[in-house]
Formats: sequence, structure tokens, C-alpha cells
Amino acid sequence: MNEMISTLVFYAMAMVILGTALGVVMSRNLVHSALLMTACFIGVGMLFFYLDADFLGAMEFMLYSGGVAILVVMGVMLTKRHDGPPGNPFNNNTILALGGAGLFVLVMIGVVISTPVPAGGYVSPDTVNELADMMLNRYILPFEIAATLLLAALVGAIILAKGDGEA
Amino acid sequence: MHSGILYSLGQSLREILTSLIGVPILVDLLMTIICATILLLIMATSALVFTLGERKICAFIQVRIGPNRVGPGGLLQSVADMLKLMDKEDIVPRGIDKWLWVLSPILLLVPSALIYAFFPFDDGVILADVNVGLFLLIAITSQTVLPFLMGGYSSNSKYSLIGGMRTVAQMLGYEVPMVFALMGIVMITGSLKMSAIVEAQSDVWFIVLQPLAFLIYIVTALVESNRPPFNIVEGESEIIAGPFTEYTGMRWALFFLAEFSNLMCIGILTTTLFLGGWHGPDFLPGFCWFWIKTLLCVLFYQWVGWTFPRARVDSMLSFGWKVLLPIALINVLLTGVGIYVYNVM
Repeated sequence: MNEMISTLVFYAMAMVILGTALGVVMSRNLVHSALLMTACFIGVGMLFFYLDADFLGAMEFMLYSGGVAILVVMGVMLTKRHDGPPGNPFNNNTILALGGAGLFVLVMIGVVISTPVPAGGYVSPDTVNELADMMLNRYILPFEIAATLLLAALVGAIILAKGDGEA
Repeated sequence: MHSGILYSLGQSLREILTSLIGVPILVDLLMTIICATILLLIMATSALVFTLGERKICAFIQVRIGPNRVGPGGLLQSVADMLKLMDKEDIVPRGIDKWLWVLSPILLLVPSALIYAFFPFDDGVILADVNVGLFLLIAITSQTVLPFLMGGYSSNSKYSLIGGMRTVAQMLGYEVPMVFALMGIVMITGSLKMSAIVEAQSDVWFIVLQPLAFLIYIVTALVESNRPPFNIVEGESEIIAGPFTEYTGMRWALFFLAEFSNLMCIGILTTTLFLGGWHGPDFLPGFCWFWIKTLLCVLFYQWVGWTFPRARVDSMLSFGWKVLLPIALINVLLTGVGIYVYNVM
């Protein structure tokens, strides 16, 4: 019974994720696409919770969904309204896109098959402490480099937005 | 082991259900449904009670009489309001983005209702005591930004759109200092678990250990829940009602239900994070202390709104980024130094 319910829950979530992801690509309205993307991220976050990765799930909610809000605002503010078709126009590169997507699927299948899945599926009950330990002790250098990169991006964005003289 | 009336009530209910049904998973499901129903009822009732407070106590503070015709002393005014809202014509404006417009008030309620699962109401009485409790709570509350933006965008009205944009600027801008302020609590507790945070306050409340964080939290909580004097999202004198300008009747009421639910949430969060949660002298059970503190916090937050005029949008945003954020960072630093000194001594 437990097994069946968790399988059902998994397929329900998978349908939500795939459905909204398709919606993102198929929608002709830019804002709709962005909002569907949020729904997709929330679905992925749920998937993390389903796999007992609470921290990653919460992260997905916070950063991705929150980030999309800014994305929508930028999309609305920075795109000019013109007389042509609104939002995401489709183009004729279907075959190229199909080839690219097919290659990606092939690579992903290869990765999935070649990755060993540990049996038992043990998840530590205290992921936060372990993550913090890893980030601030073992991988401190990559962590700091990423932080510096983000800081540079932040300063760069401010200079781009305010102009050289003012900033 | 947990003690307290609510916890033992829940345990005996579970025992009765187990003897009646027998299948553990069904019992779990039923218990969850019962708890969720109770929480939703609390949420709906709080809206009624708080609107009354918003009318009568506000009138008292502002030296007015307030509503006094419906029921004894105007006590039934909220009920009359509710009936009026249900009776109103449901106007759907032309030129809107139908789906987003309809979904926006409904989706706004989801995060507001969801976070009640993470509140410890009494010893051991918490629906989901997850490991990343506080972080998850903040992550879920930050989801309220998008429905506002959806409503603002889909209404196809200038006022609504400006209101929606303001929501994003305001809520995201103040979320950063809030998270950094709460970091001090997490550092002292050493855990993000809500029950552990309350447990850590059994001797000293965090308002004593984290006064700076408390002050920052009060301001950011008012902003996050979109209460006056920081309700520039609605700003009646500037942009009519912001994202919900074009909504009528029950759809509009849903926005208000969410707002009052958020008001109670910040009351509960202030209680849980800074005022010791359900801890209190023994002559009252824990959940009584919890609600007393929560209602006092809510009254305080409403009082602030009745007293101060609305902040201007630009001064508010620069205050968030240029004043609150540095103070919050200093607080994190001070807390770290404090913990180090405490451990050395």
C-alpha cells in the first residue's frame, strides 16, 4: 500500500513537471511561459522533498521561484511592446531543434545508465549540517570563487544599469 | 516525551481512530486531514476577528466610534461584511488575461495556508517538524510574490501593474535583511528545526539575546505581510488598491483572507522566534501562552499600522537596502563573536 501510494505520488509529480515544462516551450505568451516555469520549479522542489532532500527542495522554492519573479518583471519591463505577434514567436528551425534535443536526450540516457545508483538509498537525517560542513571546510575554495564571481556580476550589473560615471 | 493538553488530546484521538480503523496509513491520513481542517478554520476565524479589531480597536485608538449598528456595539459587523461580500456582483473585466486573473487570488492563499503546517502551537504539536523548518517557511512565504504579480499583470490596468511591480521590489528587497536577521537565531540554536528553536528558548527568550534581529524582524515582517505603514503595494491614495484594483466580491475577499492570514503568521512567527513560543509560567497550558502572545503581537502590528502614515516607496526601498541590510549583517557578525566568546569562557 505504501509502495503503491508513493509510486502514484511520483507519477503525479512527474506529470506536473513534464506538463508545465512543455507549457513553457509551447506557450506563445512570454509571461505565461515564465509563470509555468515557476510551476515546473515547484514540481522539481516537490521531487526533492519526495527524495528526502529537504534542503535542496527548499532551495529550489526559494531561489528558482523567487528568481523567476524577477525574470518576469524584467521581461515585462525591458521588452518593448510592438505591433507584431506578442511574446515568443515560433520560427522554422524545428529540425535543428529536434536534432539538438535528440542529442541531449541521448547524452542524458547515457549518463543515467552509466551512473551507479547506491542500493539502500540511505539519506542522512541532517543534510543541512553536512552540506555546511562540506561547503565551508572541504570545498571552501570553489565556494569562495563562486562567491567572488557572483560579487563581480553584481557590481557589473550595477555599473551597466547606472552608467560608468555615476557608479 | 512531550507533555501538554493538546499533545495528549491528539494522542488519544489517534488511539481512538486506530481502534476504529486499524490501518496505520489511513489513520495518518485522517489525522492530517483533521489537523489541516482545524488550521484552516483558525485561519478563516482569524480574518473575522482581525477585521473586527481593524474596525473597533482602530476606531478606539483614533478616537472615533467605529461601526456601532450591527449587533451589540457593532460586534457583528464582520459577519455583515462577509455576507455583503458574498452577495456582491462578480465582475470580470474585459481585456484581462483570464486564467492568470482567476488563479491569482486562489494561488495567493496556498502559501499563506501552507506555512501553518510549520508552526509549533504547543509542546510536540506541530504538523510538519522538518529539519529545515525555518528555511522552508521563508521559502514558502516568498512564494506570495508571484500571485500578486500575476494579479497585477493580468488585470491589464496601470494601477494593478504598478502594484505588482512594487510587490516584487518590496518583498524581495526586504526578504534579504529578514533572512540575515533570522540567521542570528539559527546560529544560537544550531538548528533550523522549529521545535528546536522553541526548545532553545526555555530559559531565555531570543528577544533578549537578539534585540537587534528582533527590531529588524518587526520592520521586515510588516513589509513582507504588506501591512500599513508599508503597504505601498496597495497604497490607496496612490494606486487605488494595487494588484487587486480590478477584483470584486469574493475574489477580492480572498486577497483579504490571505492578508489577514499573513498577519497572523507574522504574529505567530514573532512569538515562536523571539518570544519563547509556547513557553510560559505553568499555571496556563502552553497553547494558551502561545495564543496570548500571538494575539498581542498581532495587536501590536495592527497598532503600528494605525499610528504611522504610509511610507514612500523610494524611501522605503532605500531604507531596506542601505540601512536594514548592513545592520542585519552586523548582527550576524556580533552573534558569531558572541557565540565564540561564550564558548571560550
